[in-house]
Amino acid sequence: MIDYIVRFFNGDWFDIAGKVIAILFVTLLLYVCFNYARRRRLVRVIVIDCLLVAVSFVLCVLQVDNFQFFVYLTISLIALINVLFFSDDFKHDLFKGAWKRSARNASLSKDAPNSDQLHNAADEIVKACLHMSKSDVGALILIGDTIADSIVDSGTYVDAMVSSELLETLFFPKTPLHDGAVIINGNKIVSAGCYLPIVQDKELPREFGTRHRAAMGVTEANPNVTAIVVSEESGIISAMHDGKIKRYLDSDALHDILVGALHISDSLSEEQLWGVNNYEQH
Amino acid sequence: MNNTKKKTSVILKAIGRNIGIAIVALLCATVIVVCVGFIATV
Repeated sequence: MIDYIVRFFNGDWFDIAGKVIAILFVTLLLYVCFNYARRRRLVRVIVIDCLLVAVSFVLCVLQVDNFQFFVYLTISLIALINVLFFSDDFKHDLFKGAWKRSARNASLSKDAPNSDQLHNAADEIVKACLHMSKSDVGALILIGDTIADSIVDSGTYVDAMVSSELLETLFFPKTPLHDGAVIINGNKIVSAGCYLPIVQDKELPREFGTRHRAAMGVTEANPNVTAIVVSEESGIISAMHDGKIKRYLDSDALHDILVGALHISDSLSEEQLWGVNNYEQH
Repeated sequence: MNNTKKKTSVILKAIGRNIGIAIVALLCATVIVVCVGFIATV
């Protein structure tokens, strides 16, 4: 085996080119699968793949009886695991993601909102949250420009200016889009009714339901995203950012957080807005 | 300024993560191709 590795890249250029192309092709496939694993927090799949590769290498070095069969078996297992876990992601990216993403980017790059428009959007969000809080309507709003495409594409593409009336309509109970997240980028509602991954964090207080846990999962995974949650049970308005929570927000506190989330002004630092510790409750 | 710094660090982290994944994928792919090639010669 060692001799073979030494002479792997010896030979004519045609032979070497074939081997390099084969390595690049397999690298591309594995890179795509590993990226899906990272996005879906399935790092264990990467570890299992690497272990199986190591096993096949050891089998080749030891050359036990029928090692060819076992090497093919481990390589088939790698392929099977990746197909089982990531075939949906691959299909989604290949057939659904591309056109929606290009439509979203086109709509966002048309004209960047100025600070007046962003202030207006912040006011509208505050107004909607306070109104929904009073009427015990649950809401989950994600604000940011780096939210995963799989989350954006899981909902219904909206592409509309932020307004309190539209937000309240989207979260109105018994409407098709109310049971999901609304994603806001700048002064536009990009998508509504989006599905989010939920964290199984035991440190979260028990009164936190699926809406809070979903918001926490997204903000922990992406520190550029801010989530606003209105509790359906208590009407409490909470905000989450980079794994930190602020609860019992009034209109001023919520407005300050939105000013930071929409990058309107840098007057308040991250620590002033969010504190230092996780799960800090105010 | 803070936001710019944070955005830069987030972008750098993302690039570093992608390079890390690409290196692991390249290593695994090389081992797989070497193993399959070796079996073909045995």
